[in-house]
Amino acid sequence: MIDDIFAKRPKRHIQDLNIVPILDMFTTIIFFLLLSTGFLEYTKLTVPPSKVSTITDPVVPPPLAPKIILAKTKREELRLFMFWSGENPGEVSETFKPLDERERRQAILRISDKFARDFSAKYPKEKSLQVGLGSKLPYQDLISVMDGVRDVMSDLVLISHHEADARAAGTEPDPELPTRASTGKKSTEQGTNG
Amino acid sequence: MNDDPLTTRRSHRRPMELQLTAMIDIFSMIVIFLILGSVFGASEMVVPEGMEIPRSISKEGAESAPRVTITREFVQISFLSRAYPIQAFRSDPVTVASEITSLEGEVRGYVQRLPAEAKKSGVLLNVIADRETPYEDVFNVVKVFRKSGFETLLFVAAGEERSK
Repeated sequence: MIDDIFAKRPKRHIQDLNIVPILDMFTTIIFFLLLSTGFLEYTKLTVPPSKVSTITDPVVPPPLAPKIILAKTKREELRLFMFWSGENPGEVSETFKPLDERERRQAILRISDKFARDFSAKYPKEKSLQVGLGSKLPYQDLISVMDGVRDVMSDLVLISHHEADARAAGTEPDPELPTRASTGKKSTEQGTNG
Repeated sequence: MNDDPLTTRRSHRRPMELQLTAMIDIFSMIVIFLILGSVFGASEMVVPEGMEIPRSISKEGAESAPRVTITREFVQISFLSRAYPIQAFRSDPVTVASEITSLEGEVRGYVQRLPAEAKKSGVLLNVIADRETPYEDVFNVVKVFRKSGFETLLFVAAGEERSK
């Protein structure tokens, strides 16, 4: 009877959080993220749309339209040359023979970077450059050339391998002539710009 | 001192308890770090097995865009179901292969169907190719896509540090 009047209050239990399934879930998420994440860093190079420019005023000098071309010579050397039109057309070129793939990448990168910087110093407003390779040259060479010039030339446009091959054939030095390149590297510069 | 083993009281045994709170804290931090540090756009880039993509010193990140993969024998396009033989792209401009003509039509249709927002920053295309692929093949393939409406080409390469 007395129990009915003074009912016992139920004992308070501290609710324990069941942490084990949470831990299981976290572990699963970690494994999922670790396995699905790629740690290889991808990069990209952007080629903007090509433009067509029409000259209407004959007094205005023709556009510079600079081009950089990498081609293979008959001596199995690589030749990188950059040329431009405009009021004072010019050309620079360098021939080299890398020993391995890494050296090849470094050489292309270094020479194209030098050409682009020299050109940019003369024509700081020109930001567009046409890039072309000989038909059989590997894709890696294209990326290396683009890497070299992108710091100063933001707009890169691909040109046909036919043009690159033709240009290489037209400007290639006579293979019978002795080469100055005892170190496997040769440089020539033509042009009247200053 | 009571050293007698018979009278020494045994200490109460307590079951070992794992400190789960600290462990959960660490797990939570790892999960947050991995979620924030993951680049989910790049994980969409599927490089075929055996293909070695070129190396580049460019620091630009990958962008999510349709992909064209150029292998030694085939050209695979992410938004079309079939693969095209690389030989078909090599034909001269006068005698363009009929399948390339139909491909151009399909690609043009795809570009036209893209939402206006996707075209705002130019129609992008990711180009994935083996580093040894001849420039001739790369040029011939990308030419078709440029003609069909893709405005900007993104050449996919693996990152490399610039050597001093």
